[in-house]
Amino acid sequence: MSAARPVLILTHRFDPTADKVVEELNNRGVPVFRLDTSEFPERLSVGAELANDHWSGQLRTTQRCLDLSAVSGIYYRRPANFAFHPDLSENERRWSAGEARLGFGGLLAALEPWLNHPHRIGYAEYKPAQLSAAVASGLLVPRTLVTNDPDRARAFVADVGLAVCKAFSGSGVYYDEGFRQVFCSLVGPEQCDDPRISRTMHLFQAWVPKDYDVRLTVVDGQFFAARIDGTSEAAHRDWRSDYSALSYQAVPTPTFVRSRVTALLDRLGLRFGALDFVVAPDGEWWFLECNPNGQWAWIEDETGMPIASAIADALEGGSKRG
Amino acid sequence: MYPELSERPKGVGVFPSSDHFPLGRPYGRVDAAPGPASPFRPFGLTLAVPPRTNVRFNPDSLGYDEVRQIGLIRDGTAMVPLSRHTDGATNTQTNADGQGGPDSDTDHRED
Repeated sequence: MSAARPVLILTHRFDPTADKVVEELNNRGVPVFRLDTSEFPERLSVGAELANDHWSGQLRTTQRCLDLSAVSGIYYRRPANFAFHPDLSENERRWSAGEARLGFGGLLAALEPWLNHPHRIGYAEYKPAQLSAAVASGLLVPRTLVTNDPDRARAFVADVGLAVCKAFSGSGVYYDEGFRQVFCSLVGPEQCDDPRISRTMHLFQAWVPKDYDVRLTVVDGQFFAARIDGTSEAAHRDWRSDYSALSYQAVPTPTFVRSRVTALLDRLGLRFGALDFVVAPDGEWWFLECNPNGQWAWIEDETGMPIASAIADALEGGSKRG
Repeated sequence: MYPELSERPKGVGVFPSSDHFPLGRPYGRVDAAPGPASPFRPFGLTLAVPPRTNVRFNPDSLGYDEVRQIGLIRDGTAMVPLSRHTDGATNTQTNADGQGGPDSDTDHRED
């Protein structure tokens, strides 16, 4: 019988990134309780009692039982919405969802230690919050404007010379002609005369001359930096827009970047981060964004850097931070 | 004293409690039915383009290993681990989708 403490992984069933961590833990003989929150309440039984300053109890499915007080780490990936009995009315389902979120979600949130805690993920997803935290941590951040005012946008773009407009999130829109996504787009002052800037918030940022991009994955103080070179114009502007035109190479993380990124993640309360940098021709690393629940498995595939192993270490080790 | 509203406001607040425990869609579902592009759409959406690579798993080809707790995908007549499946171009469908958080599909490459 394994003496290792169990790891709880919250994600849906078809998440190949989480699979890599599950397989790593399986190979180590660490018990894994993989749970999709969509199994609650119809296929998951929950019972926990307040025992002094912590919750003691179990999660039970038809396959497994998890002792909540034994957990060594919780990995928050891509859990899906709760799935209620199909005969509930819409109003009843909405009420039940609120209760489940505050009750079951609240119970999980009270556990520790997380990689990353969902509250921390939620906060760090706000780009304005992470950009100011990055500056406070000593990182270089391009001049940035967030606005729904076309006049402010035009003045900013004219002032910085070359600017990009990008979205606050990675989500897109389903139009009749297909899925559409907003990547980083170069914009000129004349485009900012568009009154549709007023229709929601927009993010404008000075374009930083680029030698190459870096996706830096950090897990509990372990740094995995991948240089990304885009060979198409679209990929050079925003590597997410053209994966077929990218090459990858593991590179060292400069000491000054390590210390500042560590400070940033501490400020945001994150143990894991997938950070994007532009490296300028003079060697400076410019911070673009931190993805608190970002993807990393394809970086491991492309470079061989052992990120899944580092995440398994973190989940087994159970850092103090929640 | 404030009057009672006959109908509660719809939508979510600026900082919804869902941000504290973000949950996504079941795999393969999308939030909304497609619709036409409005002439009034925000400027940002006028810059939107089709993703160059947007691989989707066919749900009918997927399975799950209850013992190993990993996803599987059909490869010919065999079911193989999803994380080791190659699509010939980018090796796995595990690229960057984190920015959309748990509300994004794993096979979208969004951040």
